[in-house]
Amino acid sequence: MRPWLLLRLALAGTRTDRLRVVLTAVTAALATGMLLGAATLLPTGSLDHRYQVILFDYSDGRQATAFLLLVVCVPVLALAAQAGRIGAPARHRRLAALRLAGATPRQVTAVAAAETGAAAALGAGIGLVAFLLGQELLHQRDPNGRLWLPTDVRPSPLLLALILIGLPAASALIAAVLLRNLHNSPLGEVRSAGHAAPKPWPLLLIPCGPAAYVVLRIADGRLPWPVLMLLLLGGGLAAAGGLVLGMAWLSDRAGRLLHRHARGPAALLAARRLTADPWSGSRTIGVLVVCALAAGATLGLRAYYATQMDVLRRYGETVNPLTGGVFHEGSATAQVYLSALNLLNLAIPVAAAIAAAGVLITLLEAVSARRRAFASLTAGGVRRRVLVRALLWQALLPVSVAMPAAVLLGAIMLRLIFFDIEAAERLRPPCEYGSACAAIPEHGPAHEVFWLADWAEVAAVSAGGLALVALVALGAAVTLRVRTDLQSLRTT
Amino acid sequence: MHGYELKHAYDQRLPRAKPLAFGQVYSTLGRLERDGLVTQSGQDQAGGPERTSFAITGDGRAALETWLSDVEAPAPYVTSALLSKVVVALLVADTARATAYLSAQQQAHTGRMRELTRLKSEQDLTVGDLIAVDYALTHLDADLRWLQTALHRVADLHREVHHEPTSDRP
Amino acid sequence: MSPLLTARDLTKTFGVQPALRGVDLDLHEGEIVAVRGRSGCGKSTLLHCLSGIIRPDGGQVHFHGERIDDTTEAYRSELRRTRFGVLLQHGHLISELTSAENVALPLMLGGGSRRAALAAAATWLGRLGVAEAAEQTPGQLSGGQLQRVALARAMVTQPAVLFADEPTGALDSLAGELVMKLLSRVAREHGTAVVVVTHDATIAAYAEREIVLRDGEVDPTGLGVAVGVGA
Repeated sequence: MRPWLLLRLALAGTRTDRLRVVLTAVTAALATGMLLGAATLLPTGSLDHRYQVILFDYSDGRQATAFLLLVVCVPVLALAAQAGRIGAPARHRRLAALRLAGATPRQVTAVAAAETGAAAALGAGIGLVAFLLGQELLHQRDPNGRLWLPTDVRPSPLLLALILIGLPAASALIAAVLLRNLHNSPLGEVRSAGHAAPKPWPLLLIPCGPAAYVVLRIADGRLPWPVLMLLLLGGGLAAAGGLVLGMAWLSDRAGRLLHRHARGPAALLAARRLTADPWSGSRTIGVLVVCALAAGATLGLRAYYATQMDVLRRYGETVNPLTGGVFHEGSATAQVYLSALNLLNLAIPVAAAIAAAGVLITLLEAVSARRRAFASLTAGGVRRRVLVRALLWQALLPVSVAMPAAVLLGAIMLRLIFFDIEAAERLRPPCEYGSACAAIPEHGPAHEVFWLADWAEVAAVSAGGLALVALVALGAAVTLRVRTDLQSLRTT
Repeated sequence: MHGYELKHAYDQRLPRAKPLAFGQVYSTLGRLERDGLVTQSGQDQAGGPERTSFAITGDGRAALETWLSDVEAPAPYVTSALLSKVVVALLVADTARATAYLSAQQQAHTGRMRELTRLKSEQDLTVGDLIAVDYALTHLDADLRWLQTALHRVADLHREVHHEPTSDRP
Repeated sequence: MSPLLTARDLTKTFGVQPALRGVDLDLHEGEIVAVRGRSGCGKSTLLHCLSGIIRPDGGQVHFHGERIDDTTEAYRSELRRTRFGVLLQHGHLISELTSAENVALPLMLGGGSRRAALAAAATWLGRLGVAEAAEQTPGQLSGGQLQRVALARAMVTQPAVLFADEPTGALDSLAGELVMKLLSRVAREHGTAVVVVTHDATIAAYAEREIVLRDGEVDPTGLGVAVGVGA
């Protein structure tokens, strides 16, 4: 197909389509920035102490931050996927019309991939520029000659190429895959005999995540670089993917359960909607669940550092898991841990913001896509209050199970790849070598201190997620008044 | 069959048609008897024309068949002839004959509609002519639609009577 | 003369409902055929199978003697673009492109030059009396104008067969009459055969012969329903 035609068809769009392109570019830029940051921090190597943020002086601190960035990246990618779904029905219809006019499946795929890929490439470019700019701007030395952040390190060219090419390529590929049902017939999903009930198989993906991390733990860093990255990212994506895809089955089951026990019209409406379109749940709350996963991992990190601090307080010293050395309370490392905790406190609101954005986008889009159904219900006399309650039921029911599960899973997966904390009781003060007291062992037997996540924090995050969904659902419901215009009931 | 039974059956089967007057029944029966299409089959004790029963003859049956196998000329007004012929075909004749007649009648209507449509497209007609052609087309279409509905009603009823599921297409 | 398009024993099932149960059809060059029947009798499915929009579950479709129902989706798309024209009830135009771009689309998809394609589009729009709609988008057109633009798009590649599915279904009688008159005229001018699916007898009257379907099969009596007598 001639390039100008491709361009014309890819750009042919309404306001919604332009919004989708913008959001895709923005999320791609964000993701690129985070990936580049992680790529800068990950390579281990000894560096002298030259950063103000003490965390970055130590390779384990850098690694932890890199992990964190990767972890937060996954929700951003999910948000990008969410953004790609805006206006999807209209685009699907447009592409189907194209097929009807005689475009081959390949041509149609090219159009969709071009739009998404171009937007993502634009975003990646912006992300790169922003990252480099950021490095330049943040490249400040304090009076001691120390840099604030590792702005003097550039990511390796290989990783750079991988990120800048891989991200747009992946998004174009995903856009192409999502159109596969247009490949069989220009009528798209012609009358199928109703949607088949979702199967629980995607849930099997979930244990693959922890399994990959168990492998990482056993291998204990002896694996080559690319395999390490693959297992790390792949495990995270498997767990996230399993949760998101498995939500369809969960929604379906929850719908059936609700239908059996429902008593009011709102609950019945919600129950039927859940079973009729179980995938809408994973579309709406997918990002939230992935953010919950990330939040769980973050909580795990917090628990790690908090437990280290605690051990430090109780035993006066603790073991640096990476170097094996012992360090004491008040030492520089303690400062590191403190700064790490502070950094982590930043991550949770960021994840929440991403989650909120994702949920809002899809709820709004879902409501506008079902404008016609809402309008006919309103015309039929269903009170708006009932519709709002139904929306809340429908949104909250699968989330109430998925949220705590995701947070816990995130914490568990982090625990698997992160270090154990050992503590040993000091039996005597340090002695001169050769003196009498040297006969007594200095430390008691080392025992492992358990850490996973603070249960209160887990509950808080879960409740926070539920509250977020409720809030956003109410917000979308408010727009119902504006959107349930009876114009949409016109048939001509 | 007696004369009054005939009238009763007519009124029952063709309720919307103009009701027959008794005099009309007997004068028609008389003409049919004169032409050899019906014959008197019995006389009751009371005598008199009201008590005479009639039966159809072989010639009569042949005449009925001929009548049924002739189509009504497709004309833009509902004639009681079309109505009664269709009713007779559906309610009285056997399936094969009914199908043959109805099929032929529909073909005649459709053919005429084609002619009129071609007229509209190909020739330069005045507005008055166009209006007249539209009138004819609309009424022929109405005839066909009524025919279709009648067919479906009888088919559904037939299925009901024979305890088959009535068609209710999605 | 051998038929242009033949279908033999076509079957198609959606879910549990069989939509077509062994349909045969012959289409000769330049003839206009109507396909009639009750809703749900399989008329649209037959049209989709004949034009290559969907593949039948069983049976064969031959065009110019070559079998087309077992070809790839890409091949059938090409066929639909070049040798067939498709006109559906709701036009299926792309609402974000102008009428002229919509009509030129089949030519442009084949790699033709933009200028030539738009020129051909302008000619066809003029021929069908909607030249003034060239720069407007489908959303700004009336139903009758929309269908005429869709007809222009279907005819722009001078197809051998035009498939029309309830082309006047959403139009009032005069707008429908105009579309049908134009359709039969341009079809005759270009020797295009036409298959029109309709349940409306006044539309079927534009055809030279008609085929009536009943429950997915051809009804030789032409009545579309089984005659059950006696009540």
